[in-house]
Amino acid sequence: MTDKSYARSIELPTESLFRNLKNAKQFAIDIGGSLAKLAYCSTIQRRTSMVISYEIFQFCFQTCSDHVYNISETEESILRLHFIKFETKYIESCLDFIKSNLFEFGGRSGLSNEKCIKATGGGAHKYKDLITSKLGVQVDKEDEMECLITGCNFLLNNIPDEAFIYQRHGNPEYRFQGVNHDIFPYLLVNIGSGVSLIKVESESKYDRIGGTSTGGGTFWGLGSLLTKAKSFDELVELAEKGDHRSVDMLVKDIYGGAYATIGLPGDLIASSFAKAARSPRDRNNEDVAKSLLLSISNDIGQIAYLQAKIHGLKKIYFGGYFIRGHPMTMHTITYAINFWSKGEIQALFLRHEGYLGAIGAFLKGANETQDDASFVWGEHFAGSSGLASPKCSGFFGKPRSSTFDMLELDRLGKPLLPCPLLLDVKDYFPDTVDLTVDTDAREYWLQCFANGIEKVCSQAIKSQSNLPDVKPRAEKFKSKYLDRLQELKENPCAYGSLTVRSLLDTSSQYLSELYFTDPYSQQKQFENEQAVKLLSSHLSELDKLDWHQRQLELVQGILAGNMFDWGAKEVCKLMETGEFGFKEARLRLQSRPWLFDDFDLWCKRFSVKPNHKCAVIFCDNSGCDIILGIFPMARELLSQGTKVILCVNSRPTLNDVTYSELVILVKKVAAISSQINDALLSERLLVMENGQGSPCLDLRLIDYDLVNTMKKLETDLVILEGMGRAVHTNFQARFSCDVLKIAVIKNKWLANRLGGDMFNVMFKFEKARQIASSASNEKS
Amino acid sequence: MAAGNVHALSRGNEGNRSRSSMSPEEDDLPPMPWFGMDIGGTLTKLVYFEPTDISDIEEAEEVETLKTIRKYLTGNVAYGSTGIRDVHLEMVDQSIGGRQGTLHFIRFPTSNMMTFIEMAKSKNFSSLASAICATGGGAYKFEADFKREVNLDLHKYDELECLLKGIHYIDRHNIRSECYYWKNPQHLQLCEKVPFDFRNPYPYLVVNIGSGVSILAVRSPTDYRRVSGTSLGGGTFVGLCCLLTGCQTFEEAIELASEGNSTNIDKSVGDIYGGDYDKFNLKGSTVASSFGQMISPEKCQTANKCDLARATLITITNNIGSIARMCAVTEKIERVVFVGNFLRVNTISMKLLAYAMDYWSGGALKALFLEHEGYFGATGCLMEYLRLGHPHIISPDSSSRPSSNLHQVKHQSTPTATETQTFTSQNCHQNSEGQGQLNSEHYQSVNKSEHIKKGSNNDHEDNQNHNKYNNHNNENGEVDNNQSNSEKDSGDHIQNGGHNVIQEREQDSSHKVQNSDITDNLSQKNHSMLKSRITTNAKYIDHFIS
Repeated sequence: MTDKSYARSIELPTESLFRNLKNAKQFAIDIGGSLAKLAYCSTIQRRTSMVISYEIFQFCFQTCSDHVYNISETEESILRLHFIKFETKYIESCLDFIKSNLFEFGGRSGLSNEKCIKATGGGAHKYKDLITSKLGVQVDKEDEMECLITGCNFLLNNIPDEAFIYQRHGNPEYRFQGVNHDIFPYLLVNIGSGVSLIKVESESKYDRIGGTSTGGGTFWGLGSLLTKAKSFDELVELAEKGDHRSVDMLVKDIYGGAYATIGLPGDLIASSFAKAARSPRDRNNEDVAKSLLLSISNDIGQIAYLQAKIHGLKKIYFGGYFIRGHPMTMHTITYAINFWSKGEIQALFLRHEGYLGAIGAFLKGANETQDDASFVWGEHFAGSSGLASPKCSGFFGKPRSSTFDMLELDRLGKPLLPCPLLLDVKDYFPDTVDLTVDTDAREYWLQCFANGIEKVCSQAIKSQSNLPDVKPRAEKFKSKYLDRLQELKENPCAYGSLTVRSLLDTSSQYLSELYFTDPYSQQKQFENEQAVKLLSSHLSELDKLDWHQRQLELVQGILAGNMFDWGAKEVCKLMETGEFGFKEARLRLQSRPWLFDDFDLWCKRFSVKPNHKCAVIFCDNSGCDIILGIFPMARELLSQGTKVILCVNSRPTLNDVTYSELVILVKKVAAISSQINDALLSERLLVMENGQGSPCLDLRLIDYDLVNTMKKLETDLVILEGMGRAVHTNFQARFSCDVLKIAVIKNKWLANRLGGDMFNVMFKFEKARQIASSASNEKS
Repeated sequence: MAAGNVHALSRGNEGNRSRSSMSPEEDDLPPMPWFGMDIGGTLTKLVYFEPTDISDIEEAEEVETLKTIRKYLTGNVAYGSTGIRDVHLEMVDQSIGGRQGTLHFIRFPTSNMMTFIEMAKSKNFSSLASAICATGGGAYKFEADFKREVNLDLHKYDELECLLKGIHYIDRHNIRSECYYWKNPQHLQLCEKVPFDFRNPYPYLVVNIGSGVSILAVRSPTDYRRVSGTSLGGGTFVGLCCLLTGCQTFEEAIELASEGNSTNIDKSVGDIYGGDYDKFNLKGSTVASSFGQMISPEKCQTANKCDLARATLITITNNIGSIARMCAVTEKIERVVFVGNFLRVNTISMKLLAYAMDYWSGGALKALFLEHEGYFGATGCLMEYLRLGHPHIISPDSSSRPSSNLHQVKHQSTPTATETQTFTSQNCHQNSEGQGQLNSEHYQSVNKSEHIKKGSNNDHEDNQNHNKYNNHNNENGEVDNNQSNSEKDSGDHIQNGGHNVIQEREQDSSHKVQNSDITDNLSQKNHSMLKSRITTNAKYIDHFIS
């Protein structure tokens, strides 16, 4: 990595729009009447820490090292999808920009090497020649509907919280729908210039079952004729300020009140625009715009409901530029669906509805050039725009929706599947507190993360202190993350469910975006080394204890280890003194009975046969936690004949041990403990990655191989360790097998919320559960 | 003269005690004048029954106020600056509550309601009656005004019930065919209005397009439900046109629309895709986005009023058609009857609806229209007021009674009288085959003469069609009559007052259905009835166009 590449950290505005353009390939474009969406794929080269085992290090570098493993900075390649939405009128300058950038930088794998660009949308036809002349590539037109559906399926399959229900004045205003593993069948209502209703039954089976010409173009067209609005968004802004009651004839205008006999409320619109006929000159722009928006939204909602009813569909997704996240539009459509279905069906919206076509067109191209397109993609929050909030302004200080909007997705590798041991996947929600709902918690955590930013920055600087631009980058991280926190304060729903998990993940993404891929790598290395040194004596001390004492000591070992959490600011203070060791940590622990104390219950279960067949341990932190806490417990389980899967993060975050680190560490531990060594050789002890890169744990989406192994080994014990995995998430999770949830509460606010105090202990043992219905079946 | 006879007969019957005991309604009828009023969001529709059987004595006795009102309403075609009598819709020689007379159809904007109330006050209306009957939302809204200004109580009747009663009454009693459809609606040249036999209508959908739109599913006289509606209706059309073109009235808006071309305003599938969208079978000419071209400021500037009015009309109409079609599918109903004043002087919309229903349903749905577009609520309201029960119940007889057909009068003035008498006084005894036969013969003869007069062979195909309809009708008729029987047991749908006669009529009709001979006769009657309707068709299309 050269210093030169960091020069990019001072960005031109255009560069922040068309990011990583110099590595771009596989262009696709969806040109709508008003908005164009460009899609491309880029390879992100970024610095990451690589751990190399001592032996390999020695072999490669021909030098000796004292370290348990060595950290090397390396560049990793990440495949990222970029989607940029801009007004179609800018298309020419955008094409010029792309062309100049690609050629200027030589376009390593850029457009010059590509034969064609996939295009869809109504404008694909109109702008075909322009694209060809500007970029010198052939334009392949792709079917619009097919692209929309492919895009919709892709988003629903890949992006958690893609779909939401909108409830104006509700708490939360957006109710996100989480992860849906069973998306078909559904009705997609695409509201572009006109409206198409498509019934989607599978990835390949769909049918346009209806449509109406009264769509976004009607709203815009009529609005342009009737008001002074210069653009679609101005029109919506007008509508938001207007009062339709001076334009529309309401039921009460005709009846003097409600029409009770057939249940029509007085405020219901009986005839849109009917009052305008009486005195057309009195109308103000706002009221007319509002009336127009309501009439078209209501109409589309009604038609969608009727089609859903005819075709027996329960899920209706609305997309297209007419919606564009406008609360008023979503509200009126939601109202209409609710009104006509009598509450049976709820209108669903998509956070990225504008990108369906572009995603579909891109995938079409990708499928043609790649063998395996079945990758999993994750939302790159740091490079994506949130849902527009009326209060929020976007780039250049203008309302976001009228300028540029972006979505970035990172390739995550193997498919992710739900944990097979969850009692009910549909019922499972990872996060304990939904910060979009819980206002107190939201205020606390947003402030907490804002307060903690200096600490994160200094750690980041420390990790790359040898690099000249480290400070500007850290500053940049700080300002970007603070901006994001501010945005979330104003619109908590902008990026899906707002949770402690999402705040942590976003922080990691911003760090990584600014080349701080693993700020804690040296810290982890140091802690791991220190802990390995203590392991031998710790194990022999444990072996001296009787069974019961040993069980307590094992649990307390995990708890003491779990104190070493650089994600918890109170603990950081202690650790920074440098005099806080494993023993000190043990002394800080709450004495029994703990805040949640199922230890006796656990011992009772642990002492009786048959023992668990296989335990999966989702590990936290590094150093003392993993080495002195988890490994001894694993050893104990192994000694009882229980197989153990040590499951750690695939990607670095905070001081959580990663898969690549643990693979090396386990060998060090095996060298110390013969039991561990035997188990490792006989594959009774496995180290596996969880597919995630978060301090929290979303059991809806874990590594494909892990899921298979868990099934194969008949895993019947889940151990969730640490605040991130057992308190912030999974606190309420129910499993079909036994589960241990172990954590030290290292946050005073949270401890108080749980009815305890700082450094209180959670040790929950929950017996296997059964879904109520299956239990009663067994009885009968 | 004929009217005089009728009058004499019915008067004579009224003197018959045994009859009036069976039919107490006429004794209980409210005093003249008889109005039915439907106060909608935009238009108020008034149906006025002008008695034409007034004897010299009665005329002498008739209070001056009543006479003033009668002369005022029948002597004018326009009232004030906005009231209009639709002369072409008037129904002469109607027998209602034992009186003969003419139904007049009058409308004025609801915004002028206070003027109307003033007029009622100035004509001293309250000296004649203490109440006036009304339906529609305005019956509620203006109730207090009527009481305060003219000391009149409003008898309020259910809007949907009035609408359906009005439809059935007028369909049965219009001497011309009331119900029709558009044949070949997609071809400007070939498109024509064709009568439709609507006597056994169930189930059907009513799409009432007034200011807003209500959609009712009707399965029997008493089984009906408002299934849907939309706020994009006639009011929207006028309102938008006023805003877009500066026009003032519905008529102006329609006038503009008839001159316009919406393809300058709308965006078609072809505009977007450069041609047909084959994958989904969408033609290039299909409207993809109504007003879609207006997103361009330049085109906005140069858009022409007529084109804008046309686009508005097309948008509203297509939308109604689309919702109506989906409702028909969800309700599993094939006949869709479009009514309401939006369709007045609006062949563009009717043909479009006819085309859209046919095209998008692959021919499964039929769009039907009624001549008295917006007056059914008011008519039904009058029927309710006069407690005449549900017209359907008397339909088998009333349908066989095109007695007062204007240009058939010379053939049947006397039978008409007999008919009327039969209908009102002897119906309960009319379970003999002879009576039915007589009627049947009579109609066949009428039919023959009509046929000869017209001398047309074109009717042959229609003939077969109508046979088909008739068979269909008989099946339905059976069901309906059975229903009537069971409903009679519960008895709750019949307004008190006239129910004795009505019940016996029902019984009577169910007897008839059980008798196959008479069923055949009925079928023949239907047939000949239709023949006569067809012959009047040409004439009344002229009327419509004028």
